[in-house]
Amino acid sequence: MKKINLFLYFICIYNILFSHDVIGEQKFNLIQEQLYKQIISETRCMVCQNQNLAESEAPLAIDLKNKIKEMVEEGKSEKEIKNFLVERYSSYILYKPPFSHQNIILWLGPLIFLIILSYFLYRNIYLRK
Amino acid sequence: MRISFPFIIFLVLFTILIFGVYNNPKIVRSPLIGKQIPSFNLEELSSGKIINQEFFYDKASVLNVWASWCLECLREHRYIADLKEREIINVFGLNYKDLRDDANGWLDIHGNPYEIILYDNFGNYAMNLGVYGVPETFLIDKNGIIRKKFIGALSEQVYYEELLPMIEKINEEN
Amino acid sequence: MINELSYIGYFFLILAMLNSFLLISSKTILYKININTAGLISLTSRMHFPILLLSFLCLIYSFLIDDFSVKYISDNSNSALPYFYKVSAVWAGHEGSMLLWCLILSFWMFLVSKSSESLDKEFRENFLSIMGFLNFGFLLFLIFTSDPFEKNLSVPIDGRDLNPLLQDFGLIVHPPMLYMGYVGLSVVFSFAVTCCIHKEFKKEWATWLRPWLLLSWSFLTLGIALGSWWAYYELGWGGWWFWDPVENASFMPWLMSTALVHSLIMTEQKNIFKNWTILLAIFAFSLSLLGTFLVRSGILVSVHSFANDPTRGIFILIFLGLIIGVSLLLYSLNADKIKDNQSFDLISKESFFLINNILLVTATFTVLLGTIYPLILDIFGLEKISVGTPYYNLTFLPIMIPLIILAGVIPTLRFDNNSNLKNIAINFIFIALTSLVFILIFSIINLYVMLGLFLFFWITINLFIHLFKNLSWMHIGNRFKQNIGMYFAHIGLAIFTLGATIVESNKIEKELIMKTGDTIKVNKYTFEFEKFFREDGPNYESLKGKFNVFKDGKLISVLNPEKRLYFSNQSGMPMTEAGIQPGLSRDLYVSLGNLVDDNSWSVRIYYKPLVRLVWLGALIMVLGALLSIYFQINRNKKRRTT
Repeated sequence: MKKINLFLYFICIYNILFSHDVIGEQKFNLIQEQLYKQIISETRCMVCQNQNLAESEAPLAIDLKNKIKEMVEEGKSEKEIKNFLVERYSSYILYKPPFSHQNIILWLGPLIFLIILSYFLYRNIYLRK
Repeated sequence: MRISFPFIIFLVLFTILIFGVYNNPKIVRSPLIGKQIPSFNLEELSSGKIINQEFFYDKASVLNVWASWCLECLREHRYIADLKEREIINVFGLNYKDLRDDANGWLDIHGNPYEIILYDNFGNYAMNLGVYGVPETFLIDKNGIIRKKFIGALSEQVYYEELLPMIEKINEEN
Repeated sequence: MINELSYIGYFFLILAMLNSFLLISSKTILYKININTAGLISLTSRMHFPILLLSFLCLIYSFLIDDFSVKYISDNSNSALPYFYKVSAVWAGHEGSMLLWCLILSFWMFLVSKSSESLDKEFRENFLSIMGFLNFGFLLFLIFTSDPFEKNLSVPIDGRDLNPLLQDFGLIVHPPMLYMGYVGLSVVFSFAVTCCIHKEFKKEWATWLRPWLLLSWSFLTLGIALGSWWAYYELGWGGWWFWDPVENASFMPWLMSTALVHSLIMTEQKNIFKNWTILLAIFAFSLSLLGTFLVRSGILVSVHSFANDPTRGIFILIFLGLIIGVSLLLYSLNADKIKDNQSFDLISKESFFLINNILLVTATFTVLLGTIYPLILDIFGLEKISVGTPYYNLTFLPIMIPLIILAGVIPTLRFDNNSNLKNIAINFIFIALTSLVFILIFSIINLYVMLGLFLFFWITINLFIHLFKNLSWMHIGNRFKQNIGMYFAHIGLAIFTLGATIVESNKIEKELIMKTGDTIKVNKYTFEFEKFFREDGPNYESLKGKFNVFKDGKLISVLNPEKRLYFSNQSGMPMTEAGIQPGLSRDLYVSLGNLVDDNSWSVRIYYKPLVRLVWLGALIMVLGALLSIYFQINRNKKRRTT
């Protein structure tokens, strides 16, 4: 029994050191819950190597999840919430990069590549007989 | 055409990767740089007096986010203390998600390098500042505009080669 | 005396390097002074593997006897580590995994040397010389930048431990499988480069090459599936694919070699696409080299965080640049002379194969772009972004859907006539109706599920119709044997698609706080958090939860999710071990989060329908590839004896 306590003590210490809180009860309706889940699955945990907020249990991730939940409950839209995050943590926090001019190659690249490759192969394999 | 297409892809990729090797993927530029410091109403750690952002105006300042539970903060402590001794800039602290007693105890043991410490016990203001890795250090000019942010403990190199020259530069501005 | 084993291991490394030097010099230097090099090439290419194996065994043995005078061992092992982890720790770090990489490379060369007698003599010698070049280069890299036998200045009393995340069965088998696949592509690559040198790609060469490609493709598939399965149970978030850079690094060569498998069929059966097949072969291996580089250099942020080092990164990069650059240069100079001698119609089976290739290569490009685009922005100092699942859902999946549809169509087409396009239309209507019946029966409203069901039926029904139609006129023989592997591989893809779409759209995920004694209902299952208790392992402390799962009031399972704290990692995060009850129709998944107060925890409870089909599908694909290899080798033997 004593051993359990020691280990519990450690995990408690761990929690005190690194996080004071956990995700609170969820009180919102179905649509809100979906929005919440969608946002936290498309948002990066800044402190972790490569996890989204939904997966992460880092203290900051928990704070952010609580903040997002609060905003969802207030009836904020997806766009407003994502703007809130981007203003503070930059677009790096979003797993879905914005359609901005700097990301144009990222979003259109596959399509452009598809066209070039099709043309290239058509010319080199089909027309070359 | 047929000769160059695969080769060009290879060359482009190779060049990118050569540069990429020397790139640190973990540094994220804060979107707050060049912007006004977000407004706040926070208690001062020891006195409990309410302070707002006006405090940052008319002299340049350094805002250091720290906590008593943060081991890394101890590593940069001497640079913050050194900064205060130089008296070239305001040195403020933002105590992040901490207990008052713990924070004061930590200051008693290690010495208090701050002129004023804001107390942010739930990390709300830190969230507005986009803090994600304590300790973080913000350099704010006399107009209350954030000029630079350092993430993680200040090292000797960062302190002498980046922070101090930047402070000098900011102080020279009218 | 016994600690001196690490010197012997090092000696074998040097010996292997000299051996591979001898191999490559036979073709470049020695033949000029009139030495008969034929025997020398055969001998040295076969000796390489045993020599490296001895070196590798020395390292394993040094791990087992806890020789902490070796830096790599003191960094990655510990005397309290169970013996099987001591063995797997050999490839847990950079140096050891490079040694494993070299060993596997030499193993493939060994196999090739043993079974390439049927190739033209000159071609074979060049082919083995190129493999020798690769072996030599990687050994140089190993010895000069990442020597696993490097000694510590002072011998530590005990080792730092193996990274707790890596102390796991999945991690014992995942890297060797993946490397077998990565490095297996070197055979195909060397072959393609040799073709460039000879300015020729004969039909029978393609027949010879096919089993090798399929074999490395199988290993690659297995390796990726194992990695996904490991991430599923070990990371505690219940996901099976994260679009993480390290995962992408292994996925790109997979996509490329899948394209190659299909284009090689064309080269083998119709004597076309020769040029293109060579290019794909070069790219497939280049991408596996790129994958190794991305993982080892640490230039991308990833869940699988490995130690990184820029100088080492630049070494690998220059070496890779040389290999890829030289081979592409050879290709550019000579590929024009390798001509297809057949032609085909625009609407034909050949064209569909071409579309398959276009889609797969575009998919590869998309993954590549998503992986390195953040890096490009970073270099140009633009705003940093993250590219994750939502991006790939929008770009990668639309490429996959037509591809999966093709997987159901192409097998039913015949090379010579186009009249069966009408049959495809009939099949389409029939399959759409079948899917509709299912959709109505299960009253499915989710678009993804509908799509998943349709694609599943599309492939399976099309293939079965084709199979039974052909059975009537086909004497169970050559044609059946030729196709059976393909049937399995495509049905594997169908099963994977079904699993992936259903688990992603119908999973239920709860994250909540539970006190001991609490219950929660998820779908039809009631989870009761009975208690938690201490149960330590050999090198860690562990707290286990006990969750009873009831269905209709009956106890169906007891799950024990765990939090582990490794002795060697006292200051670090506790590790999570999920409690999973696997099942073909669904997984029940519980993992512990944080302790909130004395007896309540934050808990994640997942219900994952059909998630097993994801890995089952991959296994069936591999089975298909293995069947193909088996029948092809049999066929080749018969052909040779008659």
